Amino acid sequence: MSTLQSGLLPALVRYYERLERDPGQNVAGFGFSIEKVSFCVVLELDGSLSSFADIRDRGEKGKATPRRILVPDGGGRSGIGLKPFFCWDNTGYALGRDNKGKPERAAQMFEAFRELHRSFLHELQDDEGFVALCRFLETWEPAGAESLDDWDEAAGLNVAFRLRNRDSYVHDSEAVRSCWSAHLARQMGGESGPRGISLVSGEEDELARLHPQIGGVSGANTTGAAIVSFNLNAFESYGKSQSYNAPVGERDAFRYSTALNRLLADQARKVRIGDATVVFWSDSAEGGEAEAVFRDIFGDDQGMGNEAEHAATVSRLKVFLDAARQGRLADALRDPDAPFYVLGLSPNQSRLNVRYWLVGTVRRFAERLSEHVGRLDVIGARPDDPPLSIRRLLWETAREPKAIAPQLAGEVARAVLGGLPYPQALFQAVIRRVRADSVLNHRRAAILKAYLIRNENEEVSVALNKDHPDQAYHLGRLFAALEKVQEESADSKLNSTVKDRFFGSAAATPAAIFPRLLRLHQHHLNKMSSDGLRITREKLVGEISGRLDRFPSHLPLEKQGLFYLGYYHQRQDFFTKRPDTNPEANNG
Amino acid sequence: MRMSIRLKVWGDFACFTRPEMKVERVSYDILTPSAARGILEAIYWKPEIRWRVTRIQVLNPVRFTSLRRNEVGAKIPAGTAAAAMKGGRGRLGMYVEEDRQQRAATILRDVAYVIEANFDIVGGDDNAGKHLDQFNRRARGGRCFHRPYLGCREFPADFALLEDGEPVPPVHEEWAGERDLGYVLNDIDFRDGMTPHFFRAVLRDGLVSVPPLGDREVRR
Repeated sequence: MSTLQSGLLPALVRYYERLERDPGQNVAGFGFSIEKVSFCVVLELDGSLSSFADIRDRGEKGKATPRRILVPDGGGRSGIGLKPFFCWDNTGYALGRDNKGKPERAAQMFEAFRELHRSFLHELQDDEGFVALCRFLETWEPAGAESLDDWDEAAGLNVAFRLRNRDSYVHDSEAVRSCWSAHLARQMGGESGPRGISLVSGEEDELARLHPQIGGVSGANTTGAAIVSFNLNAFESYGKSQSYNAPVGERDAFRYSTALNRLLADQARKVRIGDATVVFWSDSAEGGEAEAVFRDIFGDDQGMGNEAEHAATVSRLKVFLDAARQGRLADALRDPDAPFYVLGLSPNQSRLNVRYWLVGTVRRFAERLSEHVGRLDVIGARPDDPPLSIRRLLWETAREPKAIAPQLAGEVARAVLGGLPYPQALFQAVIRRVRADSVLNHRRAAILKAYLIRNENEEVSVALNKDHPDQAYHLGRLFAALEKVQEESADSKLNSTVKDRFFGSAAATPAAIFPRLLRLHQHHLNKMSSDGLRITREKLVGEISGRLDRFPSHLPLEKQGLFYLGYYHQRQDFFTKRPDTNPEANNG
Repeated sequence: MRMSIRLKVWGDFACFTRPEMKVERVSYDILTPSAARGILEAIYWKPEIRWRVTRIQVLNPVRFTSLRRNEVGAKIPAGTAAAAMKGGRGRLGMYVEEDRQQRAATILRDVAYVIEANFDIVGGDDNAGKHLDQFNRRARGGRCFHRPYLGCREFPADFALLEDGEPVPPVHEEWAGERDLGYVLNDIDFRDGMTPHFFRAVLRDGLVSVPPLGDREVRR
């Protein structure tokens, strides 16, 4: 078993190292990065242009997506200075023409691009690809770009270079790569920024002044944002500037940001919860199945449109959670003790904020998830209902999805993953919604139940419990019975029922409402058409009333939750026994 | 006579900010030695002594919560302040409404620790017992120069002296076994360009030993 890394950056660096060891992962080494490249300039050996090839992948609908290829790292650009990349760049730099409508600027960019490559020529004079590239740059006329095939589409996009009849790009050659690495090493040695102890590895290294940007966090800058950044001077301490406030070695900064960018680019490991983008990963290759389950529970109902996929999701979850509940995880998972990490990031200005960072083993997280799912289990779910993902639960807290408190989403996820009590705000929000719209559906009942069990230590069963010790529960049952009688007395032809009018207030202030409801109840009873039914109902109301000593004038919030659950259970009970009556009302 | 002290500290919230995540603050999992030193200095400090935290016992499980606060984005430039002092006039004001920065923080809640520390005499007469007595007397009576805090000023710490022979309060079962927290800030070396020093925090049943600053373990 590998040890847990409690720090975020060290865990990411370890993940990078794992990727690096895995030849199938195609991970960028130090000084290289994976970039989106759309076109390729194909050259003859003498540097003349052979063709201009579109290398984008075409999706099913013909939508072109740039290819992600490994290139010498340009390190990003900012400001207006000229900074060409090595052996690849956008058409402005690489060909001297782009779609920005500033030919003079493009000409300068091309000039800078040419100079950069020329400066490497004496080192790389034996590499025929690079020599051809230089010859091409010497003779290329930017105006010629406009007559290239697909120029309208290509303008401004990234291009790379390749020799005709070769599979690999110019920058893929061993000589070019090692020359680039040597160049970087020289550059770092030359500038010689401060050296120090990297707080990630504890080893001495050149310290990073700026950290690479992290992309793929929803809501953040599209060019990326940084976790480690000091973009205003109020954030700096002890007279240190920029990231010297947090000494991280250049190599560690590169490793962690590469690993994190990779995780964030992987749709299978990323979900959105509230305003946070959450990624999860495992240190072991066998952790993949756990990652899939996490996606299902936290995820965005990906399989909704696709029945087969949806069914697969449900069955995968079921197998997994059953195994966790019965302590058989070791059989269901190949490596239950593998470390498992959950990172929630949310943007704030141009920075990233670590919303939560949870470290554990696959087994521990699985057990917490299964406990959570067990607590949510309440009667009334239909067999084809999707699993209660966190997102679905949160929908019940607000009138519309965008009104969900972002903070709340994060706290719920933290509670579930950390095995902690649920946030009180979740419970309050659901009670408030029930009071506002008088809807008590399966999901709301599930939230109330889970909260009461975890936070209040109340005992709440999956279905009706006639011997529940708490009066609030029976008050809810009584309300359900009274409502039922009203419905039956009017043959379900009511515009509004007692529930529409009194549900919330009956839960909050029973003494003010119930005497009135009982008076109404007498009228309803008299109107009932069937004697048999009337007697059944009178018995039920009698049975419930027998468990109540009095109507309390006020119920505290957690008791209101019990009230609603009592109501929900009793109501479900009516339908369980008589499935032919109005199944629509199941959710009501 | 034992020359070390043991102090229990606890509080509702704490933020021992990680340097790498200090803008959008994220706390370390445990009390850092420099924060512990700050607490001791709040209770008793004299120019003649220098506190040295030797061990930290973590009592409560690690729980996080998050919050956002409004802060400012700029410092008043030192040059302006110096010019104002010299010239006797000038504007030093800063308007928070114009320079607001909302910052998020992921902080600890319900923390409790036992700090074990001793001190070096760096000046004056070499009467360690005097300083020890003063610290113990002050800590016992709950006296302090300023209110000690848990990492950030806004998270006050309660404290109580653990007397000789008094057992360490129970440690939460979550801490059973060994836990490696990676590199944690030990302290800042103010005499050497304010260089931060880190140490490998390995907890055994929640107890971490802090190497002295300048120790091989700190710098590696």
